[in-house]
Amino acid sequence: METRARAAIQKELTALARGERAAFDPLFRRLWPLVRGFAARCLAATEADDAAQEALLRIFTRASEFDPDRDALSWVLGIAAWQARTHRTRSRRRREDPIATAAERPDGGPSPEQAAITCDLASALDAALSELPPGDAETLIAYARGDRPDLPGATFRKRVERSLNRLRERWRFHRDHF
Amino acid sequence: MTISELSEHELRLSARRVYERGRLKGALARGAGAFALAVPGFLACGRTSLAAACLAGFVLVVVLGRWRGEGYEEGMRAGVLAGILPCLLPTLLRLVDRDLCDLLFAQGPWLCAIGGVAAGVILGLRCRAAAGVPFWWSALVTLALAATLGCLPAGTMGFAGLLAGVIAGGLPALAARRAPV
Repeated sequence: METRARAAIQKELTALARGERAAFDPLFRRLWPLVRGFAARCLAATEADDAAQEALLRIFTRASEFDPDRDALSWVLGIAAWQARTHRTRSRRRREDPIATAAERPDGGPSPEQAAITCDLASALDAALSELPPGDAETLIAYARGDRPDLPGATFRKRVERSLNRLRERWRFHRDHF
Repeated sequence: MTISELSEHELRLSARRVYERGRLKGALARGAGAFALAVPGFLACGRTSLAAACLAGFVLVVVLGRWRGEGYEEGMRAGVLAGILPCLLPTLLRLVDRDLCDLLFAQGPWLCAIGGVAAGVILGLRCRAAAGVPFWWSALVTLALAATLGCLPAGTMGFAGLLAGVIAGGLPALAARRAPV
């Protein structure tokens, strides 16, 4: 950094520490690119701007405590470095936290394992149904949907019972052979 | 105005806000310090409403001076430094021996005059850094409020002694400061 710019920061920060509000704008114009560039060198581009803003606000919060005997640039960069480190630590923690604290299924749906099992069962049921006589399959589908064919109740119950027995046989056959 | 300019403008406003807040925080801390410094004077030398007003005014001037800064702050600092002796000398004497303090006050305003001379010398020596109207206004108000706390038991004569002491101590110190080397 140029000696002249460094001397200007020293002068303006000293004036601001004394309470001269007129020094605020020129100091802001000088410090913002400086702190931003410093943060960009220390942090990833996505985090640099946030860290630079936090550092700048911290510098101005403490500006009235600045001791004019100290070097202003070192003081400013010291705060910026501290803020960059704090920001880095915080974002590292943020990255670590979700793994430890994330919910099992944030959307509340079935897990991939459950979905695969359900899919397998549905395929096996389809296969077993396809091997049944068409009349049995229709009876079971109507029973599952709650439809009532135009038959006496006792007849329909007997058909359902018979179809279920055949389905169980086919199901066991599939389970034992596949 | 572009987005980056807009956010820079907002950042500038936020920075200004936090600067003022930080300054006020520092001012309140110094006000608390001033209260701790002057409260023995209030407790030892007369718990009257006038003394309480002086104590509150002293703390307020310290807070405002620090917050405003520049000449006001320098004047306030000089005033506090100059006001310590007139504020605390009678208080210390009263705490050590109440009769001695009463005796000294009864003999005349000498105690306040001694404090006033010391205050005048300190003010005269401190005025080099910033000798504008804000400096003198702030320094004299702070000194008056602090010294009143100590000189209240001496009454009007005490204030007269204090004023004479400030003039007697301050003018030579000022003259010596401004004399060409």
